[in-house]
Amino acid sequence: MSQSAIQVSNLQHIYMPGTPEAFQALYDASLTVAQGSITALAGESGAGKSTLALYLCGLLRPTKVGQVRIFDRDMAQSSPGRDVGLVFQYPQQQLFERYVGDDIAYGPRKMGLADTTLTERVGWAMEMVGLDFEAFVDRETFSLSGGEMRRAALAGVLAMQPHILVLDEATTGLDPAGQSLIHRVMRELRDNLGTTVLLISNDMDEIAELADAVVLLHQGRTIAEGAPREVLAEETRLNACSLVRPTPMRILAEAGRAGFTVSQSALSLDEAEEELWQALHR
Amino acid sequence: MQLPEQYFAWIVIRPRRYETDGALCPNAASCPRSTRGFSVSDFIRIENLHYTYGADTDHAVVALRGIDLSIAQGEYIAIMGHNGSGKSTLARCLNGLLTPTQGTVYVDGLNTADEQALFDIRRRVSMVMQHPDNQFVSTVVEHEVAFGPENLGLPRVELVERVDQALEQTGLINLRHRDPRTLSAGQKARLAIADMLAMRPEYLVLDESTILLDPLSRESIHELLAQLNARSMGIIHITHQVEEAAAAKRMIVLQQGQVLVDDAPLSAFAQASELGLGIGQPAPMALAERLRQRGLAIELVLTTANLITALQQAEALL
Repeated sequence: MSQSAIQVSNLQHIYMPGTPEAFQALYDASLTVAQGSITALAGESGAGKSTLALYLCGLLRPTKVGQVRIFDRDMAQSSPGRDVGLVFQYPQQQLFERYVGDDIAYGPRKMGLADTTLTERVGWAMEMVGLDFEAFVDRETFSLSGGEMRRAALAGVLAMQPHILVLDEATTGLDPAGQSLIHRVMRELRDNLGTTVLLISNDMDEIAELADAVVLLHQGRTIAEGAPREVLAEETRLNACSLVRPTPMRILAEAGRAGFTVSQSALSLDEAEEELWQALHR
Repeated sequence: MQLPEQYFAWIVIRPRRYETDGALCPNAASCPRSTRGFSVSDFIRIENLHYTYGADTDHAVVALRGIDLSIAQGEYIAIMGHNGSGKSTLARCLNGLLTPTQGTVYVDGLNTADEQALFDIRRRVSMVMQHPDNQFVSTVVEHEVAFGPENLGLPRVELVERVDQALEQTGLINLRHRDPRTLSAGQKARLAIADMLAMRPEYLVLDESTILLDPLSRESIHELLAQLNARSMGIIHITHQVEEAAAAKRMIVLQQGQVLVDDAPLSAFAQASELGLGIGQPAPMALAERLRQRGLAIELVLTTANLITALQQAEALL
């Protein structure tokens, strides 16, 4: 197995400890993300996914219970620094400059890039997310539509070329074209730059299509970790996390119940189509 | 989750406000276009609606370019379209959050450009936003839900009843004493819906309000919407989720601020795909279409159940 980029073990987190509002978000979260993989983190809303993301980018630090290691560095002593880039659930939480171009340039500028290298980097990031440089670089960030804000926020993180990219529901609210663009970006980063991607998502079809591995979080605990074809097939366990099987699997399961001889492990529409075609011509 | 009947007892079809013989529009004098194909039974009537953001500035963005729609009471409508196609702008025009830069929107005979009518309009059309955090005003869930009806000056008994029912319907009753800020994204979305249900509107407009929900919570919201609609509450659901749109009875597709498709979902999806609008297709429909392209005689369908039936029929013919 390849080296792991992220290793979380037995992590706990309590919000506002010692107050009447104390709320435990993580009880026993563990996960391993292989370097250069796209790993999906799924779980019901409230399972602790976003809390875990805050640990990975260093906004929260493990103190007493549990350990977070990034590229084998212990996050209790160290910080992920520029290794990890996080795209938040709400893109407007991370757009703060007046103009789109400045916002995307903020990170790389802090890293010491300037002049043409900086412009090139911003241009590259904007191209990756499908924002036309000329058309958007001088747009005011508040005038962007929801989908454009998501792209701008993603571009701002990509511009720093982090080794690990954490996407917290980065494709929700995007139209199908926007979604497939972000999917393409994830694959390109993994395949061309060796970037490790942690995809926090509840879109089971997206996970089925993209992920090399899946981790299920339920009420602050990791309850499954493994290959999508296995983890996504366990209906009872998924339902416990308020999740469902990917659409192709569910359709084939219905077909099976209606008497068609089909395997129910399809992850994509292509596979489901083939299964149904074969079943009809048996 | 099947909710007890009494939770829906409050939804009643009120007599039309302006259903008097012959009179097409109460403001007939000020509404010259009112005779153009609309009838008094329209609950929401949109005539030649244009909206431009920053209209008087040098960075004006045109969002809506001439929309005509008539919406009857109690419809279940899905609005689809690309990011930036004008969906959210249209939604905001429905309850007067935005007033048209050109054209008119009537809600139950009331003009949304008439500031005096806004209170009455918003009691009829409630909106659940994309990001629920933007609309919370209180630090306790049940106070949050009570905020709207409280401002209607209701007696305490009715206020409590409305809050309880709204929390039951949205499955939040056990979280009634929590601080909304500590809720998960999915719970917040449900709270935003509860806020609106407590106002007992005639139309509920959801602007991508389910995007942050996990799949089972989303399904429970769909069931809730279907139950509300079965009791004749109108639903307008703005969404990118093809399955959500397929659950509606009428589907409208916007592109660049114009209505390109307005039909029942099955035929609307077919038209949208023919026009290359790129809004996607429900998986059962996509599968049927793929099998058809491979030479199978199979009907186009929207749902898995119908796909299975269509497959069985196709198999019988082989």
